[in-house]
This record gives sequence, C-alpha cells and structure tokens, in this order.
Amino acid sequence: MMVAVLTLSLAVFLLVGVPVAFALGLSALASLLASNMPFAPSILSMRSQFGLQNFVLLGIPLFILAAKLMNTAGITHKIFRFADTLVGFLPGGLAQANVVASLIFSGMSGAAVVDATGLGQIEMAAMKKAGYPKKFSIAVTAASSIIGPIFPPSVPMIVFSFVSGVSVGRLFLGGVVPGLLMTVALMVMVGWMAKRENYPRQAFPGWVTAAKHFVDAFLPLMTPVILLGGIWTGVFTPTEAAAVAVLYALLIGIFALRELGPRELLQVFVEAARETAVIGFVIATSSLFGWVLVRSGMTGQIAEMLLSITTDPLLMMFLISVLLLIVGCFLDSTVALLILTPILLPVTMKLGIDPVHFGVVMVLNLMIGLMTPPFGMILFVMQHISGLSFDEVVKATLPFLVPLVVVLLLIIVFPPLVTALPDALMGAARR
Amino acid sequence: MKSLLEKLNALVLFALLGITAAAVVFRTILGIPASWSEELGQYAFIFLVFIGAAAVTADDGHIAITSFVDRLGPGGRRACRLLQLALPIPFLVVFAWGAWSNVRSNWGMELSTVSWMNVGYMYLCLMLSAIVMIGYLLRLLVRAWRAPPPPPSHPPIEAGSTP
Repeated sequence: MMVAVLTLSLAVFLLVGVPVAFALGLSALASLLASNMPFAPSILSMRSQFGLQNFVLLGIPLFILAAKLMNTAGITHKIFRFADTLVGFLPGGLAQANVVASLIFSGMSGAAVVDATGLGQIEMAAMKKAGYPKKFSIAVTAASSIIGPIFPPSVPMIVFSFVSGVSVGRLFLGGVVPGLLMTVALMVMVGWMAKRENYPRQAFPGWVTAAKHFVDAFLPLMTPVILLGGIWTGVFTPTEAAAVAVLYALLIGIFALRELGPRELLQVFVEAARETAVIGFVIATSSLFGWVLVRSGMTGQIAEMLLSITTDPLLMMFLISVLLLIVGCFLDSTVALLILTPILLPVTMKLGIDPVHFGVVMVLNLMIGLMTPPFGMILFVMQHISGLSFDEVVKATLPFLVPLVVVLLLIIVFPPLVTALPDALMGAARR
Repeated sequence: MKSLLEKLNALVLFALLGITAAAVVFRTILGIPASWSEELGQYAFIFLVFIGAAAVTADDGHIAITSFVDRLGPGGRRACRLLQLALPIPFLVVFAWGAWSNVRSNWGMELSTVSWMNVGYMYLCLMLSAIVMIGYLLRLLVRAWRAPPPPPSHPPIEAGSTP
C-alpha cells in the first residue's frame, strides 16, 4: 500500500507539473498518512533539514559562486582566446577552441549550464562572426558544456557523494580521464564535420601572441591546479577547495582584472544563492522522500528484481545505463541522482562494481540526458540563447550525442579509465 | 519582500563562504582545528536553502517537469496550473505545523560547538519559510484563477539550471 501510494502519487504530481521539491514532499506525506505507521508532523521538517546537514553539500553553493564570479569577471573571454590560440589552426578552428575552452572552464566550474550560458554565449558569438552555421555552433557548445560536470570540480558528483557516502575527492579524480576523453572525442567529431563541410580554420597567431594569450589566461588556468593539488595533498577538503576557488576568483576579479565591483558582486551572490536554494530544496524534500522509500521496502524489491535479471557486472552496468539514459530524458539530473542512487548503488556494490566507477558512469549518463528531449536542460538553454525552435536545436545536437555515448561505453567497459587515477593518487582503500 | 529575502540570502552565502574559508585558515595557517566551522557551515546552508526556497516561490522558479502539461489544450493547462499551485499548500501547512512543534521542543538547545546558535532558530527559519511559501502560492493561485490559460512553457533557465 505504502509503495503504491508513494510511486503513483509522485508520478501524478510530476505529470501535472507540481514543482519537483513539493511533489517529493507531498508523495512522502501521502504515503505516511496511508500507512499504518504512527505519524507526527514534526517528522517532515526534521527529515528535510537532516538531509541538508552534510558538510559535502556546502561545496554546491561555493562552486556555483566560483563559476559565476569567473563568468562575470571576464575570465571566460581570456580562456576562449587562449584556447583559440592553442587549437584554432585545426580543422573547424573556433569549434575546436570551443571544446578546449569548455575543458579549461570545467576545471573551475562544476556545472554544464553555467558553461553554456556564460562561456557558451562568447563562443557562439565568435563562431557566428567567423561564418559558422548557427546550428553547428549550438551543437558544439551544448555538447562541450557536458564536460563541465564530469571534469572536476563537479556539482552532480557532490550530490552523488552526499547520497552514496563515496569520497568526493575520489569522484573528482575519477572524472579527470573521462573528461579528457570527451574532449578528444568531441574534437575528432568537430574535425570530421569541419572537413566535410569545409569550415574555416585560423592561422597560428605566432609565438609572441600565443605567449601573451597564455600569460593573460595564466591565473584562471591555475584554478584546477590549485583545487586538485590542494585536495590531493590534503591541504583542504573538496568542500574547502570550493571556498578557496571562490576566494581565488574574487582575487582575480577584483585585483587582477578589476572587473568586479560591489554591484556585480551583489548580483552574483544573489544568483548563486538562488540556484543553491532551488537544488537544496529538492535535496531537502528528497531526503524525506528517501527516508519513506527505505521504510516502504521498495529499494530492496527493486534491487532483487534487477539482480534476478543478471548478476554479470558488465551487463548490469549496461542495463543501468539504458535505464539512466531513459530517465535522463524526463527527469532533472539532481532529482534522478537523489532518487535513484540509493536504489541502484546497493545492486552494483553487491556485484563488486567500484562505487567511484558507478558514480562517474551514473553522472555521465544523466549529463547526456541534459542534451536529450523532452527535458534536456541544455537544449532549453540553447533554444533561449539562439532563438531557434526546440526541434531545430534537437536536430542540430543529435549527432554530437554519438561521441559522448562512445565515451560512456568506453568507461563502462574499461573501469580503470575511471578508477586508476583515484587509486594511484589516493590509495586503493575506499569509503 | 522577495528582494529582501534575496539580499538576506546573499548575506548568508557570504557568511557561509567566510565560515568555510576560516576553517582552512585556522587549520593550515594557525594550526588550530576549527570544529565549529563544520557545524555552523551546515546550519548556514540550511538557512540558505529555506530562505532561498521562499524567495524562489515568489516567481514560481522551482524545478518542474512541464513536458506533459505543455502538450495539453488551454483548458488542461489551466487546470494543471491551478493544481501546481494548490497541491503544495497542504504539504506546507503540515510542514509548518511540525516545524513549530520542533521549534518548541528545541528552543534553548545549543549546538555542541557554537553556544550562541540555537537549534530552535533553525526550525523557526523552516517554519517561517513554509508560511511565506504558502502566502506566495496563494497569491499566485488567485492570479492564475483570474488569468487566461497559460501558454506552453519550458523549465526556467536559471531555476535548477546548475547541472
């Protein structure tokens, strides 16, 4: 009874468009009232605030803030110019620069949409000026923004760590190789399309100009080095690394570039606080929902069902990936992480799958979902920025799903692509 | 009211940044472990989420899945719009009621590492946030009742845009 009320009511509430945070809370409440368990209203606020009492989660507002400060301080311009110098001479020059700039920016941001809305607008304006078709610019910008939440730091990986208890540092390091693979795969795709369509490439600007662009971008380029170096050496935790990233962005923006004044700072803090609240409120009510879900016994039933289909780790990863790719088309990635991790993680643990490997695969699956209709957040952002219709954006971005899915398959089949780096740098023991 | 909540929340975020940065400075530079920073940071995060959730409700900015509703006709969209605004209210009423009971039972209970911070304050914030959200939802509900059917929408770009 409890399971039926929980799942059916959630499905109905989500279908009629009730905001996800409220839908989770409402279905948990309906399920509690329908059960025979004694009910006290105080449990709602108690479980919701309890879900937020985790030091790891403090990284979310701070990484969002750091990325927004970098965008507002004009650091993204310098990164894009440097990336253009670096790879602009390759076929499809500016599109290649678009991909490399996203990789560099992802070392200081942990979110795809921050990349798409900040850096993406600069990239698309430059590509338009150079005569690239709008649809191609959109597709490259959308696909490359997916690198953001895979290459460290990463907000979705913080959320996964919160639900699973897996070390954030390990997850961050586990995302390094897949992030680099995605960059290479997208560059190959861009090169192939550029040759086929005869897109322009830039001449190398000369070593003096290249050196000048490198010096201009040097301080922002140091951000991932400081963050990963600090986490690896144990100077600070991943959450504290987020605060260090914010302070570093503030120092660059206020003193080195002099682009951040009191008005810009207030605006950035207001926006970052708002985005944090949106995600945090879903986390709070999903914590209540998760508590009811566990009490209903549904997690165990789903785990048993999955294990009855296969006990082969590789097949299970493929099965889960198909499920996640479908779920990613309809459900917001944060919500999917919060609801599905407690269900799927025990299954993979039982089959001996490394939780860091599973975490990175799960996040990449859901991030690919950001580019698939009907609920692909990146598609909406691209539609908003470009003014094209939703269908046109979907058609344009479709081919770029291929290199991303290829990388996904690679990391599923070869787990060391994810686990080798964290194991080498942090030892083989896992939480 | 909404602007006030947003500015207050920006201040909370600034405090959260200060608390987390202070932990690094205390431990790595001064060599003093700052156990208070973790507990206080977590409480600042709770304040940040619930003050912000109230402000976001003012302009209906929470994450919602509208792909099904967008395919409905004007009548269906209008009915769903009213449900979207009305259904969360009973949840928030029970939530506020329970939070009030938690305020009373935790008033005077100090945090283990920060004596001036009271657990009751946190539950008070949750209760007030729920009440403000109810107020905003009722206002939106009245407006939606009077207005013509809403056009098809897609998720707001800023809200829930972080992944």
